[in-house]
Amino acid sequence: MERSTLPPSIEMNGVSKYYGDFQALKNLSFKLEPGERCALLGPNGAGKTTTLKILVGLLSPSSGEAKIGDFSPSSEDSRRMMGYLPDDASPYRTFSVRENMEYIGALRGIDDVSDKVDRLLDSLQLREYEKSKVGRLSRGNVQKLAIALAIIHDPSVLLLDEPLNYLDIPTQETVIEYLKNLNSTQLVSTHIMEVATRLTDKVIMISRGTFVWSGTLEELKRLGKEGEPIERIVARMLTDVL
Amino acid sequence: MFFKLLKFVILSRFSKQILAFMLVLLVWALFISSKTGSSSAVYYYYGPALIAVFLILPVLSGGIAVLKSDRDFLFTLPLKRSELALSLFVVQMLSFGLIIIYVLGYSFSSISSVLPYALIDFIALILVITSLGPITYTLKLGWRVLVAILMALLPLSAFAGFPFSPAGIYTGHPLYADITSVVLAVITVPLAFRSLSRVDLDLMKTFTRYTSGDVKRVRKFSGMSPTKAIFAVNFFIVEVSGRMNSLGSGGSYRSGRFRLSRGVLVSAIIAGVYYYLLTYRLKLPLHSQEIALFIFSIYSVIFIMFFTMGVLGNERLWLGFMTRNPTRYLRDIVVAKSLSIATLLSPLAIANFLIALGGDEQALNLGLFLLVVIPSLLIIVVYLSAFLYPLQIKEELSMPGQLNLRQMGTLLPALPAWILVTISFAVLENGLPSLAILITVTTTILFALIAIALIYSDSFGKRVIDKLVTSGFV
Ligand SMILES: Nc1ncnc2c1ncn2[C@@H]1O[C@H](COP(=O)(O)OP(=O)(O)OP(=O)(O)O)[C@@H](O)[C@H]1O
Ligand SMILES: [Mg+2]
Repeated sequence: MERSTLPPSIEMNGVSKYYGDFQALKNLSFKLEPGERCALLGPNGAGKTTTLKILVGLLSPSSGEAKIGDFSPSSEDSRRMMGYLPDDASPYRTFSVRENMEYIGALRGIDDVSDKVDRLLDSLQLREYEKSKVGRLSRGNVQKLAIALAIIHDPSVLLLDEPLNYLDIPTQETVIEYLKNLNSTQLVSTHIMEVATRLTDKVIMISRGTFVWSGTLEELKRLGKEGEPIERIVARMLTDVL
Repeated sequence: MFFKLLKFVILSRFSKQILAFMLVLLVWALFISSKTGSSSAVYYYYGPALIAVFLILPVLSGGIAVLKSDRDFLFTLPLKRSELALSLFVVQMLSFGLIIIYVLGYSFSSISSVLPYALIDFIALILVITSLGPITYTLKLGWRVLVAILMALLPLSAFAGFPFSPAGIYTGHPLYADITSVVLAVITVPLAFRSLSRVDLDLMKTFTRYTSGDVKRVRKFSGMSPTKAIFAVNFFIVEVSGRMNSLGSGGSYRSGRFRLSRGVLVSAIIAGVYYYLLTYRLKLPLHSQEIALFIFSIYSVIFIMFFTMGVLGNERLWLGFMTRNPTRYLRDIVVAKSLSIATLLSPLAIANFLIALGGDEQALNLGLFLLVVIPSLLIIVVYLSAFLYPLQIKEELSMPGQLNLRQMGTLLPALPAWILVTISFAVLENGLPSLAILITVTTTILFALIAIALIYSDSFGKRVIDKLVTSGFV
């Protein structure tokens, strides 16, 4: 399923976002080149979720602009390319696992939904819950289903909010493996450094809605002292801004 | 300690404004009832029919006023079971029991000659109505329907002259009515207490019992076009969501679904019976049709609530809404739901149109109300609720939040509809049929136009979605 074409870039250009009077994002800019995998790091309330919601077009920025390739996030074209996993993702509750996947597959206009669903069920070990209603699944299995729904249409842009939450270690490995093999530009929001190092090669740090730093993981490690754990480096950088 | 608990339990479910509002309504109902003259022929139908409604309501909505946070925090505290049960019972009474007073309050004057009996009857009935929710909330839908039918037959049997009906108070059997109601209360209240004192355990059980709960028939969407898939979910399947947020009713959130074809079959049968009764059997005087309309409008609020609650609440912004332009997706699901309701009600509407052709102009009113006004109201209420009280349902069996006035505000659009329809009735009664029809048709067109304007306004759709996102919908 390799795409011959390059996946699109992801870009934020001087984006600010207000919730009422509260400014959640302050003139935020960054860019992911096509095919880059990048972690969006930041403490609680930094604006990671807000950033992702703007990039998928669910929220519109108060000023500035977001772009997926050459398109605005709310355009039909970018919607087709994007896969989005929100934090605390919950699928259609009254549907079974399979119904969720087939419904979203059909809405996405996938021709061979049934085959695609079968493959995802097997690779995410969801087969035995195929007929279970979502309302009855364990939280971890809900998360697996949510990931399946986010990637069912082979998106070339993936925006994932805390994707490994609730997953057991073997499943984390499966998901990491799966995501790494996708030919797509990926932005993964997390506040867990471990997740960032496993899933991505680049880091964008934000705090209180402001851009702090971006670079490769290697560059990040070099900023610290010899043998200093990467978490400590990040913690130091984030407290420096405060 | 008990009063602290009670206060906490009440205030975590109802906002203070709504409690005040309930009090005002209560006084108002009693005031009205003391003013209105008695018209026993009318109340003969009105009383039993309403008692039936209120006995069905808690059973069908699986009502139990327990919050998600109760499960996580309250039930884990070391509380006395009996105190907890009593507090929950009081809340339950506020949610379901008191509602009977508002409506039966209006009929007090007609039964003033048997007032002591009536008081006993109503108090017993309030206890029964309060108890039915906790007793039945763990039952499967099929059983609940059965209990509901039995509960409806009891009061309605008064029409057949059965003396031991709780509604016998309206048909000249006050003593027997009291006996039945009190016996019912004596049976149901202890059962309710038992159920409430172990509500935490029961909830745990219901949660774990279904962990491997499968759907019976997995629906296939493979090979469907996007629009077809949307219709398969939103048109051909009718989803009913419990948690009435109309006045006074709290309760858990429940949902069930049935195929539209089955629903139409049932409504066709009801329509047939209705047509037969109205054309060949009952020659109701004009005035009592007003009462029928009143009862009817109560049914329609309940109806609209059951059908609108889940429309947005069960949706998922990151799924359906991401697959196409969100405003278009919103429009598609709302239109599909609205058409689905119109189809479901169409046999009843047709029956009314046939009756209207037979010379009874009022039936035209009801027919249009069913076929156009209710489906339009569904759209209006869905859009309005996004602004006033956006509430996403993430879990079954527990209420997502406190009951407050804002939530009831979403029902306000139903008000002008009834007022206009009622005016049309009144005009008709005064012998101005053509004016009445004009009002009816204008009302219908007005509501349809508002609904269409809402659906097709892109900027409004955008604002709805923005509102949903910022109020925490995922
Ligand atoms: N709907 C909203 N209304 C008002 N304020 C909001 C809303 N959503 C988020 N905020 C505020 O905006 C800021 C950024 O929130 P956001 O959810 O984007 O943070 P986050 O980085 O995802 O945090 P976390 O790591 O906890 O998930 C927070 O201060 C939050 O309180
Ligand atoms: Mg977040």
